[in-house]
Amino acid sequence: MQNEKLTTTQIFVITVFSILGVDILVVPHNMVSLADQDAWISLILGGTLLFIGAIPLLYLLNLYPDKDLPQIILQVAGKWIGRILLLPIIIFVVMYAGMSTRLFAQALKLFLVDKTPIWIMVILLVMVAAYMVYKDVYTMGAVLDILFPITIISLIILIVLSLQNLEPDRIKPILFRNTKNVIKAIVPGFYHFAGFGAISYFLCYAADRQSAKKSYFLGLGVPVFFYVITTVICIMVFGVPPLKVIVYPTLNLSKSIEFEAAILDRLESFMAVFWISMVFASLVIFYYASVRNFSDFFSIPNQYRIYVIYAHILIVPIIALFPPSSINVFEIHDKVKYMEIIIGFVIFPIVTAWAAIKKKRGMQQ
Amino acid sequence: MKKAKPVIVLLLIIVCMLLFTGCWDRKDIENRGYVLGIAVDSYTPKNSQTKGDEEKKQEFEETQTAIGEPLYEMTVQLPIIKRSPSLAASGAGSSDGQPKTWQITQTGNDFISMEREMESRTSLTLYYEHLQVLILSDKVLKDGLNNMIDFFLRHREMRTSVSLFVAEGSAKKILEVVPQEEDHSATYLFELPINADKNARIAYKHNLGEAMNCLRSGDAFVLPRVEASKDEIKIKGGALIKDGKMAGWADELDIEAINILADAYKGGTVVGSLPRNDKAIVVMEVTSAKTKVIPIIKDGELSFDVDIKVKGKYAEQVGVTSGGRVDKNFIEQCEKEFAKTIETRCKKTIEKMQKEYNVDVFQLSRKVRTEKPAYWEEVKDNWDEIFPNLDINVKADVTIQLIGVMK
Repeated sequence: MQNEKLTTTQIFVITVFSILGVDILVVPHNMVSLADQDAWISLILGGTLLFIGAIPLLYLLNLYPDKDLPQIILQVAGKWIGRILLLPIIIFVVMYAGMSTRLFAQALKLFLVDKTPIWIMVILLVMVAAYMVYKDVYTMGAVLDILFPITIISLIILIVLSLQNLEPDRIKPILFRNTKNVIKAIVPGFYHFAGFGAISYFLCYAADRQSAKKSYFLGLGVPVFFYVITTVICIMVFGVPPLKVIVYPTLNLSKSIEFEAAILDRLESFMAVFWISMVFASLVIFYYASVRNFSDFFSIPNQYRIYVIYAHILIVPIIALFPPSSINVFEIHDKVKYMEIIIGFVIFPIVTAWAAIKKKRGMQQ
Repeated sequence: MKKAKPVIVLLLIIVCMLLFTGCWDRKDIENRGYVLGIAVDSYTPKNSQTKGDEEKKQEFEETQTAIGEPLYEMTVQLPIIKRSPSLAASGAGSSDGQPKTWQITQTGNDFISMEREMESRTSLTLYYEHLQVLILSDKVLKDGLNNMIDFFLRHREMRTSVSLFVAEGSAKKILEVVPQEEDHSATYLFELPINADKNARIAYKHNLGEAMNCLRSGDAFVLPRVEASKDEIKIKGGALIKDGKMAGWADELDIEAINILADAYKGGTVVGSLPRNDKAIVVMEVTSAKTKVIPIIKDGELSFDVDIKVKGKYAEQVGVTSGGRVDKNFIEQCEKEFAKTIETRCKKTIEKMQKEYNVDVFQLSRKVRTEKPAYWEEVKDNWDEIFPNLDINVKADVTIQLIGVMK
C-alpha cells in the first residue's frame, strides 16, 4: 500500500473539495446580510487570510513529512497536552461533517424530493462516504479526481448562464459608508473557507511534496474565486434587499435562468449534480479526517480502524439529525465554523511554534 | 481487514434491498395535474340568483375559513390532456366544442388552503413546475401585491420565471379565453411577449423574480396589462406598481417611453412627419436602442440627463407616392424628425408619471442610490416630494443605417 501515492492533481482536487462544500449554497446570503453590496470585498480579504493561515500549517507539516496532523500534535505536545489541543479539532471536524450533511439534505428536500425523510438522505450519503473511507486515501483521491471536472464544469455553466440576467449597477455604490461592515465581515468571510486544514491529513501521502505544496496554494485559490464570483453574480441578479431574505441564493439562481426555447427548462435538477457531488466530496474528506482523529485520540491500532469507520456511520447522522429545525442548523453551522478560526489562528500556530522550538533543541543536541 | 469485508458487503446488500425498493416522492405522471396558469381575483360574494348546477358549483368554490373572512379567489388552469393535441403523444381525439382546459376556482384568505381545498375537487395532484403565467386583477393589486405574493415565491415548485400579468376587472376571464391557435389560454398568454423585440409597447419587466426584486428594493415598476375577448388576449399598456400597490394605468405609448428610458427597448417603430409636408408621415423601424440616464448634481439640485441613441431602418412613407425622395439631405431631416418624436413622447410620459401619478417607474431613485450615494442618504426619506419636480432632459439621437430597396 505504501508505494501508492497521491498525485499532485489529486492533492489539488482534495484541497478544492475540502473548502468548496455545502457553503456555496449559502455564502451569498450570509455575506450580503453582513456587508451589503460590498460582501465580495470581505470575501476576497477573507481569502487572503486563508493564505496567511495556511503558511504556518505548511511549515509544521514540513517538519514532520511522514506524519499527519493528529500524529504530529501528539508527538509535539506529548500525550496529554496533545490530546487537549486535538480535542477542538476533533469536535470541529465531526461537527462540520454532520452539519454539512444536514444542510445538504435540507436543501435537497426543499428543492427536489419533498416527501423523502431527511434521515434517509443523510444515512445514504454517510454510508457511501464510509465505504470510500474504508477503501483508503488512494481510492478517495481517484474518485474525487473524477468528480472534480463534472462539478466545476456545471458550476461554470451556472455562472455563464446567469450572466444574461445581470444588472451590474446593483453592485454599486462600492464601499460607500460601509467600510466598517466590510471589515467586520472579513472573519465570517474567512470561516466560509473552513476546511483548509484538511490538507494536513493528506500531504504525507503526496508523491512529490514540492509540487504538492504549489498545487495546495493553487487549490486554495479556486474556492475563493468561485465564492467571490457566485456572490458578485447573486448581488447583480437579485440585488441586496432580496438576497437578505433568500436562504439558498445559488439554487434560486439556477431556478431563475430561463430560455426562450424550453430545452433547459428545469436547470436546477441539472445543477443538483454539482452540489451533490461537492457535498459528497467534502463529506468524504471530513469523514476521513474524523476517523484519523478518533483513531489517534483513543490510540486505536490500525487493524481496528474499520470499527472507527463503522462508529462514524452512527455518529455523523446523529449529529446531522440532532438540530430540530433548519433555523437551528444555520446557527450551529455558524458556530462550528467559528471554531475554524480558533484552530487556524490559535492551535496551529501554537503547535507550529512548539514544533519549531523542539526541532531547534534537537539540532543543538 | 480481510475478515470485515464480507460483513460490510452483506450489510450493504441488505440495507440497499430495504431502502431502494421505493421512492417517497414517486408520483405517476398521469396522476399529476399540470397547472399552467393561475388567476387571482379579490373575493366577491356570490350571486344568489343562480339555480341548479351553477349554484352547486358556486357552493364548491367557497372554502370554510378558520380565521377571518375570505379575501381572494384563486383560479388554476389544468389542461385536459386527452383533448389537447399538443400535449398528448398520440391518439388525441378531436374535441369539437369541448373545453380543452379545466378551470378550478376556490375562495379563501390564504392561498395554500385554497390550493389544498382544490385537491378535494380533483383526482389529480396539482403540480406547479410548469406554471407559466400568474394573472392578477387590478383590485388585488390595489390591495397590495406585496401582501399576497409570498405564497408564489415560497412555493417549492413554482419558478421565479413565471410571467406576471394584470387584468382589469376579472383575472379569471383571461384564463377562460379559448384561443384559436394554442390549446390553452395560459400557454397562449405566455407566448405573447415573445414579440417584444418588434413591438416596444409590451412592458419589459414581467416575471415573478424581477417583481420580487423590485418589491424588496422598494423600486416602482410596471407590469403588463392584458385584456380578453372570447378567443383573443391582447397586451395593452401596463399597471404601475409603487410600494407594492398599484398606483395607476399606463397606456401603450407610455409603455414605449418607459421601455426607452429603462434601456429595455428592443425594437419597434418610430413615426415622424414628412419634412416640409405636414400631411404625410414617415416611419422608421428601430433595430437597436441604447439609453443612458445620468444623474447630475449642480448646486445641490438634482437633475437627469437622458441620452438616447437609436439606430434603425427607413421603413415607410405614408401620404405621398412611394419612392423617389430618399437622399442624404432627406435622411438627415428625417433623423431630426424621428428624434423630435422620441423626445416629445418621452417628455410627455415623464410628465404624466411625475405630475399625475408620482410614480418613479423609470427607477431614477435607483440611479441616485447607486451613483450618488451621498446625495441619496439626504433625500431618501422625501423622494416622493423630490421626484415630481425633477428636471429631466431628454436628448435623442437617431441614425438611419439602411434605406431598404427603394430610393
